[in-house]
Amino acid sequence: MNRKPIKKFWEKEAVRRRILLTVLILSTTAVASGFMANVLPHMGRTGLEIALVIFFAMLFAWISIGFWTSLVGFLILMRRYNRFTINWPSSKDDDIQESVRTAILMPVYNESVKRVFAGLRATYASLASSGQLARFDFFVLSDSTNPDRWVEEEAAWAELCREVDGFGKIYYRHRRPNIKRKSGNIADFCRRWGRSYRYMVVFDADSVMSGSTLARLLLLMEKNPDVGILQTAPMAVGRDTLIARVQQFANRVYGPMFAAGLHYWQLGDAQYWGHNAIIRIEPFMKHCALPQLPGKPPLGGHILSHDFVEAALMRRAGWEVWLAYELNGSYEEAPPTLLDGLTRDRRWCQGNMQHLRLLLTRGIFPAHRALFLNGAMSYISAILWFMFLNLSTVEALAQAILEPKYFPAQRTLFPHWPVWNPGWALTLLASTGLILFLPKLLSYVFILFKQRQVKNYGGFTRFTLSIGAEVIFSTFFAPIRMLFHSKFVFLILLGQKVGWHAQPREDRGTTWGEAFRFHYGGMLLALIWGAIVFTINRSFFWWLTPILIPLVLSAPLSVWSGRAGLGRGFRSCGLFLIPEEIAPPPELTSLKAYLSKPDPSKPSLGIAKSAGFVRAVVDPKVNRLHLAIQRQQRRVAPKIAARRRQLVQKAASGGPDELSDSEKKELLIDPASLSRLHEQVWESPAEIFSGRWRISAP
Amino acid sequence: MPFCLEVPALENKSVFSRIDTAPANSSAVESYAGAADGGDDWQNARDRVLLYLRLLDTPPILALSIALAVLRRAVRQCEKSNDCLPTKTAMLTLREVLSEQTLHPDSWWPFGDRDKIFGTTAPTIAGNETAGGLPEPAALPNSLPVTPPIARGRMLPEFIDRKPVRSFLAKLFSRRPKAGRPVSKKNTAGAAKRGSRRSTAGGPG
Repeated sequence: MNRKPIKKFWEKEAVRRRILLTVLILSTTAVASGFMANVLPHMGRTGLEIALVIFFAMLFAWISIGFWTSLVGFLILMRRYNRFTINWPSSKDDDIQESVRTAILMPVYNESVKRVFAGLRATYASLASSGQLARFDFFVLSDSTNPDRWVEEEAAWAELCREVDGFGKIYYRHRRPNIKRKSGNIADFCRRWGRSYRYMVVFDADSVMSGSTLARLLLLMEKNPDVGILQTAPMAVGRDTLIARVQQFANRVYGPMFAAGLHYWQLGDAQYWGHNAIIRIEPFMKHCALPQLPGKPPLGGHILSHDFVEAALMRRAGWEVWLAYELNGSYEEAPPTLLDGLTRDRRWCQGNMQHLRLLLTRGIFPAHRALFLNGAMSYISAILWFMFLNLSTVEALAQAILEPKYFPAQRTLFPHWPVWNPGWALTLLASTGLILFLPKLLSYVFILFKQRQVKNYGGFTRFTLSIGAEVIFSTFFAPIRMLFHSKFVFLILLGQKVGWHAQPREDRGTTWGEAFRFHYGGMLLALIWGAIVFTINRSFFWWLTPILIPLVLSAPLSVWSGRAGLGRGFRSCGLFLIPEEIAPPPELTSLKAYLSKPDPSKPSLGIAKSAGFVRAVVDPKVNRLHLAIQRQQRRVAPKIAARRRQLVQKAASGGPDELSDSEKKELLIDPASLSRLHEQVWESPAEIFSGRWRISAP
Repeated sequence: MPFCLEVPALENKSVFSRIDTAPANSSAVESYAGAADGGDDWQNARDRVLLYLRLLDTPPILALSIALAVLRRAVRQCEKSNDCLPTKTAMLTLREVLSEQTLHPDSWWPFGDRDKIFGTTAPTIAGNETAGGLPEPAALPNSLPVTPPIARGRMLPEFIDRKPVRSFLAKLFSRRPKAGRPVSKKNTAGAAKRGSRRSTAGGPG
């Protein structure tokens, strides 16, 4: 199974570093937990207090991982030297053989067609200007189930190819059965065309990469033949909503330090995040096909978060997985609203929980087992925090309601005095705050004094204000996320699976109705929780307010934070600015230009571009294109042929509104039916042509 | 303009010369006059034909010439039958006319240099079109470079032992043939078969 059983030069160092990390985490957790036990009234001697200390210890260990990672990242970035970096300046790219081909894959699923093709075009243009285009081919791998999006994608593909002369360079593939979702889509590419390419760069529908970065990735893979996956650290850019801009800012300011820290611990055992990474295709095809987990979803079935598992399998086979944290020019987009982010988290949560079933898999490296656990803990920690808060409330209520037992059952010389020391509690709170917020302060210090790039963040005052505002913002949103993540874990454990929804790629905002529908449970819970605590133990109520206030305000927070106008307002005030906004790189400038370019063609026949199915039926050019893209007419069973004939009649007489999405898809996959329908619609009398098909002659 | 139709230049008289622009005889002239008085049906037919041609970005004068030829022929066809539907007949005739002329449906390719894209200068579906209709889809060009040629490879899940302790114990306590005891051919064949099936299916996963 293993490609090279020999020890690699970095592995010994990795073991040393991971032991150090473990010692640091355990020691800080032990100290903090001891302190916590002392803070509690009975010094951690009751069952409830023991449970509280255990929950606290788990949570503290969890947050201290982030703390130590950031601290190490800070030291690395300050030193500006890392002998284990993968991104060594080495030979030139002209060392790469002409025969080395790379495919850039963009899997899409009912996403905004304009955004997908604008991103692709920006990357294409950047590659062309870097002179590296000849080494790369582009593949739009569509899993779109919406018939309108499908046709829209085809038309956008043809238009892009025509405009950049990209026929034979930019390819489009639409997959009918969406088996295994994104991972299945990539695997489908590998099975069909994988052998024609040595590498593939996997994108998300919102990814953009610069040509020089792509060329650099290719060079690094060529110079490091043991590397199976090379992951970049993508920067979140391009959004206008307030919450997305805050995330962009946090990602830009704290991200590099955190990525450097991750690299320090992980070295060649890094993660693959599913996009913005280059992959060696041959070992990927050989070793990274995903198994199906026994049982039904959510914990069984197809693996949702395929990326972590693919990295683990690649590593299991002896190939290295590295994080090129210093490489710039790799971009993605943050979810535009809180609800969109939570919807994505719901999917990730299920995927990460599935990883727990692979924890003991034979041959997986310990580092990847830890990463599986770490991924699952991202969500389990929420429920631990929730439990911790609940236990704390019970303890506080018990203190207020129950008579203290000064003389326990076993005989003692002295009575047990419940002791409450607010000073210790404040010290514990401060040290927890330090663990949480020191990384942010270190990033601030790094940008201010080492990088001296504060002008790229709007200047000293604005940058300082932005950091402060981000801290307040993240503090407000943490309890809301905690509650939702707890719910997700709970629902998954109850066996409720998640569907596959397209991720929105535009700043559409959240309506009040949506917000209340999503948040009313949390708001109600916080109100009841707060009322009970306020009535019974008022002093504890004030300790709970940082949790309760955001929960009570979650609906308005969700709406306001999802507003693009508010985000733009903050930008005009110079808050949450990032270097990519102040001096945008060429790829992002062209992306913005493509997105803001008004559509030159008026909708022909009064049919909107987004009405893909109607365009395919009515517009002779789009119809022609779709028929040309479809494979040859397949022989079908007489029963199916008869059904399709009926469908054509139904559509021709009743118009598109009479058809369901699956019926539209059935017509689209059958060239003969679509051709017949096209003819019949054009031959139909005016009441059907203009009435049912709503075609208006200009 | 996003789509540009490559049509023969207007000066190309061969196109016009092949389009029937004159009435065949005096009765036809009367028919046209009758059709002109025929009201909405023929107006709709005219509009439909012109609209279709416009959607193909046909230059205006050429579109009018084609429409004229199409409508004349449609009128003649309608003379022969009592239950003629002008719009339907006109659209059927339009496809006939386009098939007969160099404006073959397959040359309406609106997305750039057709020959370059398809890698051929020959009309890919010439001769396959059915009379009076668009060409059968089976005869559509199959060389549109939507995807590159397939280079098929295998990608199957490897065996994943998620419970190594249990497998170890199962292996330890499983029945094994004792040394010296002959194993029946039947059992060996069965095990080999199971083994090969497992390797291709990627194990229990």
